[in-house]
Amino acid sequence: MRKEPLLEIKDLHIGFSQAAKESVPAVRGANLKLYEGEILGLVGESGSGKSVTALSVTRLLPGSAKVISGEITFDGADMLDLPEEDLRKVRGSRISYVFQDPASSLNPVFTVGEQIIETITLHGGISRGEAFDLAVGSLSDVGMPAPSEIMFSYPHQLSGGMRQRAMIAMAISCRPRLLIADEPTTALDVTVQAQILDLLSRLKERLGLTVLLITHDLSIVSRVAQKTAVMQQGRIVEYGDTELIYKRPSHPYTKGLISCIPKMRNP
Amino acid sequence: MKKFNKLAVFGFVVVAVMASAAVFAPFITGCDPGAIDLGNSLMPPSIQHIMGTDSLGRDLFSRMVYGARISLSVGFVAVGISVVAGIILGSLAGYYGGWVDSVISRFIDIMLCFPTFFLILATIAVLGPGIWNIMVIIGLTGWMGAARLIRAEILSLKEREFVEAARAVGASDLRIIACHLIPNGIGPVLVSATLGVAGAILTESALSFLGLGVQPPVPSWGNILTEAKSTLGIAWWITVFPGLAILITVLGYNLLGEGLREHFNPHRRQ
Amino acid sequence: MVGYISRRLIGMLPVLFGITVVTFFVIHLSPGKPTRLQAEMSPRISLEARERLDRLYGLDKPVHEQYWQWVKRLARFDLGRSFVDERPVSTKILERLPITIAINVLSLALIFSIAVPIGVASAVREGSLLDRVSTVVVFIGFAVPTFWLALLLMSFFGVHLGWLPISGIKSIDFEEYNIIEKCIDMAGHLILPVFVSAFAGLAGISRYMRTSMLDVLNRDFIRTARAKGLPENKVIYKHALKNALLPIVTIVGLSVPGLIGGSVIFESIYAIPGMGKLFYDSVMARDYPVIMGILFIGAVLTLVGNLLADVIYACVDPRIRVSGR
Repeated sequence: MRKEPLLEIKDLHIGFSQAAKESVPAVRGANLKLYEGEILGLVGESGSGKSVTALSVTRLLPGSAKVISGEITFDGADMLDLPEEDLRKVRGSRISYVFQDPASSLNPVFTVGEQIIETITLHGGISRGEAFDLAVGSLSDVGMPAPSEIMFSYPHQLSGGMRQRAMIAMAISCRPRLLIADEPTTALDVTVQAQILDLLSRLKERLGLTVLLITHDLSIVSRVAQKTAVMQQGRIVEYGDTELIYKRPSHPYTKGLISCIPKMRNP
Repeated sequence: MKKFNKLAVFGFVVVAVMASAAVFAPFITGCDPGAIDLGNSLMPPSIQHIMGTDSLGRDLFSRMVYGARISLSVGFVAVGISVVAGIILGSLAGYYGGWVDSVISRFIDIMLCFPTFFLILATIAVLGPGIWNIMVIIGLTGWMGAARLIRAEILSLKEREFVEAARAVGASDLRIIACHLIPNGIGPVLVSATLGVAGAILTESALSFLGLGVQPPVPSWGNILTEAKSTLGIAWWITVFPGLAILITVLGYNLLGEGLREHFNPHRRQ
Repeated sequence: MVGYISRRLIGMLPVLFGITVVTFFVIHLSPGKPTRLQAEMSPRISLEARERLDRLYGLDKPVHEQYWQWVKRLARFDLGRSFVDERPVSTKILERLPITIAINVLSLALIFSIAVPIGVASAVREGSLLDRVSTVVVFIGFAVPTFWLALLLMSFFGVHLGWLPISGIKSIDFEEYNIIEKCIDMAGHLILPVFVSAFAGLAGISRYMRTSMLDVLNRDFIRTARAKGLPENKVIYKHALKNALLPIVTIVGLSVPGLIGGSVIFESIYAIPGMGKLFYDSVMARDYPVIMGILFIGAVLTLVGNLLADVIYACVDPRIRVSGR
């Protein structure tokens, strides 16, 4: 039975405005459907418009970027029309983000615990004590060793992998329905990358999380995503089950991407 | 970016106007700035004396125009000395590194510990006031900024290929520093020099105001203001005009300097 | 922290040594002996008396010996005696130092309370009318000669309006006032000097604050804060501001020498009995021991100010306070 997609993007056009020049198009008619409980990998090179698309879901675009036309629907609600106050309620509690570089994405002057508690109390009406416990819980959900100690650590005291886990903990602390992860493993060591990806899969199973995973690396997508969308120059050029796309890519660009993956030679 | 271009142009215009006033001083004013006319002392601005007269009856406008000469020449010479001293020490430190750099950098650190104005006043106490003295003194207390800038530029430039190429052809150290490194690193120093002229003018006027700079009867905007202290409330023109002149000139150089800075280092933000 | 401070203090020793060398060098630049000028100002002094003066100040010995004499005395906090009134230099300075420090501290407080909000507001509303107007005001502020400003304020508030006293730090009948009146009287006397002292710093710090804030607002963790659903004012005043204030601490430390040097002008104009005025009077009177003493103290105060700023920074920035694992 076909249910409604949790997130649907229809014919989205986004442009960057530059002084005295016409808008430079970044996204030119993107179409995307994300169903509950699945991981969708959005793949493309840098500059293809994938991050911009992701940011536009909760209208987090930088000042110079504007949505020109299109529709973004989340759980039935029109995201582009939502008033500011309601938008802020959605952010962090129903749609969360994990960004690429956890070193710069976490505030260096606050402890990890403070930043997670801040998210929880913002959306909860919960006491600090309860929030603390929930935060510790989130940290152990993401596999962080000694979570109660980590609560009092500053971001610079953690390794790259731990920092990203902390970010993910912060993102899932309010049990969002959708997690948007923008290149979550790009800044990490290869061994750690695998751990984080597996973590995302586990969280999807345990918490019923839906994940929009953005990356330039097709091998990542093949590892964890059920569905794949390929983006090129602001347009989605291919979309479907990951396995099928791998075996029978239809778009020449996708074919090109697949052929770039280094393959093991038989000894 | 556009806003700064306009302001930088304004700065340039101001600088040019002041410089021309200084150079063409005798042609601009008919009066002799030293002509004492006690009968006409402390007259408010009028058609004859468009900026009024001072307590000795001297025409303020002509004193101001000649004062421009003095203030600007002190500014230029002092900064010239600073820049030359700074470039020499800074390039030596940057190019040779090692103990040369340590010694020079340490020297810069030590010099920067002294409140500059204190250092200048102390040196004047020892060497005496006067226009030539203060040119040298202001120059020799203001080279540290330029030295640090050129040192930083050379440190980043000296590993580049064109330096390797020059060495390969047998160019001497001096040639490399003077002809290759300094010209490429001169941008920030030019900015610093322009802003330095503004600073030197402010310092000279403060010194002259205190009686330790340009000595009367040679007119300087600063020492005209010394008289303002005793005529406060009686002759507003003696207080207002020289101060405005300093303000506008310094503002001009500052804007020009900021404009140059934008030019050499285009705005980092999008 | 203690380790950090001790390491810095030890590192400061060579600089301190260098300061003594430069101070000594500057005063002994003149072709003749320092007492020659002094003697020239009172021509009645006989050759004998002059030689006695020379021996008293150790000026008959070679230069490097004089230097060591002076440094040894410095180590005992003995700055010599004033040429003008024979009183110990250290006493004269200590009499005046508190007032100068008080005024400088007050002006730092004024700078902070005005420049930081202006800088933040300019950055948050980049490009707005407020931003552009404050930029213009700041540039004019950079160009205003402080002594001229002091004169203008004196003329306007003191002479024309008669609202504020323009000289000294106390009125003539100060001793007869009660506590409240004394406070008000002193405050009234201090308003103009503190404002003039703060003026240059206001322009500079508000500019730096604006730049720092703009830089922080562009960083990734601000995007994260918004993505969490934080209201904009929390994003700015909780997340951005704390980060933006960090470099300002260092900047304020760097502006200490400027504040100290600037005290000469407004103290002279407003007849404040502080270290700056003492310095000016000593320069006019060629009172070299006092000049040397104040020059040295000024440099030391700068060093101390820098150290203080670095310590405060180390306390406030968790990246330094708490070492990484």
